[in-house]
Amino acid sequence: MTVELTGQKRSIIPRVATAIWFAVALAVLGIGFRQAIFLVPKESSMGDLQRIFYYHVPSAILGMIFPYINCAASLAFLYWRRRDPWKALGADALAVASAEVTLIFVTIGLATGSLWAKPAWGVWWVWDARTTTFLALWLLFAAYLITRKFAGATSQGHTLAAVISIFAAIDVPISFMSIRWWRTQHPAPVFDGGNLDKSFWPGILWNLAGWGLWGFLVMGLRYALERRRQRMQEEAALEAIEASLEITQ
Amino acid sequence: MSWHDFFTLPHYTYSHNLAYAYGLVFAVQGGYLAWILRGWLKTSRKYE
Repeated sequence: MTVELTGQKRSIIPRVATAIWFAVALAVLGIGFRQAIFLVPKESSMGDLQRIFYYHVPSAILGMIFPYINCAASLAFLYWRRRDPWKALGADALAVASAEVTLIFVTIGLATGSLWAKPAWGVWWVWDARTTTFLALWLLFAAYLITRKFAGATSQGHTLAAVISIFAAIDVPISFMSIRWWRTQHPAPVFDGGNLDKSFWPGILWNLAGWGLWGFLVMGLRYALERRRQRMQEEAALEAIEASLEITQ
Repeated sequence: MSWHDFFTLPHYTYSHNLAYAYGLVFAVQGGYLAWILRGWLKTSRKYE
């Protein structure tokens, strides 16, 4: 089955797949919300405030996964930029989509962590190893997107941004291991060596699955949007060249 | 925890931070999706 768009026949399958993916993501997020608010028991020392973890932890985990997609796409862009420009543009579109999704998840991780920290620790922020390296990750992705924004469509700007993404990928394992390597005020790991009771896990796992599905959905949509913008820029450039040739004739 | 508890979290204990956190998560993620869809609609108009 196909739909007509801009004179070209396009398959309807991606749209149907996106709609199904969206519906599944919403369903899993709904289950996750129900688990987090209504089903998982109240934690004894922190009370209902601890329920922030069911959104903080999945966002922080996903904020450490999407940078690797960004790094892989950036490396592919650096490899293809002189060999195959069209493939390089595809990698570049995936890089910007994954960078934005990373920034969203890291922002939520930082903000929800701070909202939990004020009642739990008495302060909004501490400069311990985990929070500092995670803030560095946020700053690196902010720098990545600002560099792209102000460089416009120039190749140098995108190349510089790709290099920043490699630095960001190096920060991720340091941030991940920081609560294992050093004594930090940040709580211990949840899954690996943590002491979180099994009764709390459904709240984290359902939301991790739901936000994971959501993250890949929005990354795919953003990638498709960027590819469309690239095609429009290419068509505009071709039209400008054709117009200049007509003038010279 | 019930819906009533969620919307009547006591301010003096900072428990309302839970509601702020949940609100922030859905606002940021929903806002980003809306921004992408806005870009999609704008480019669709130019395409046609």
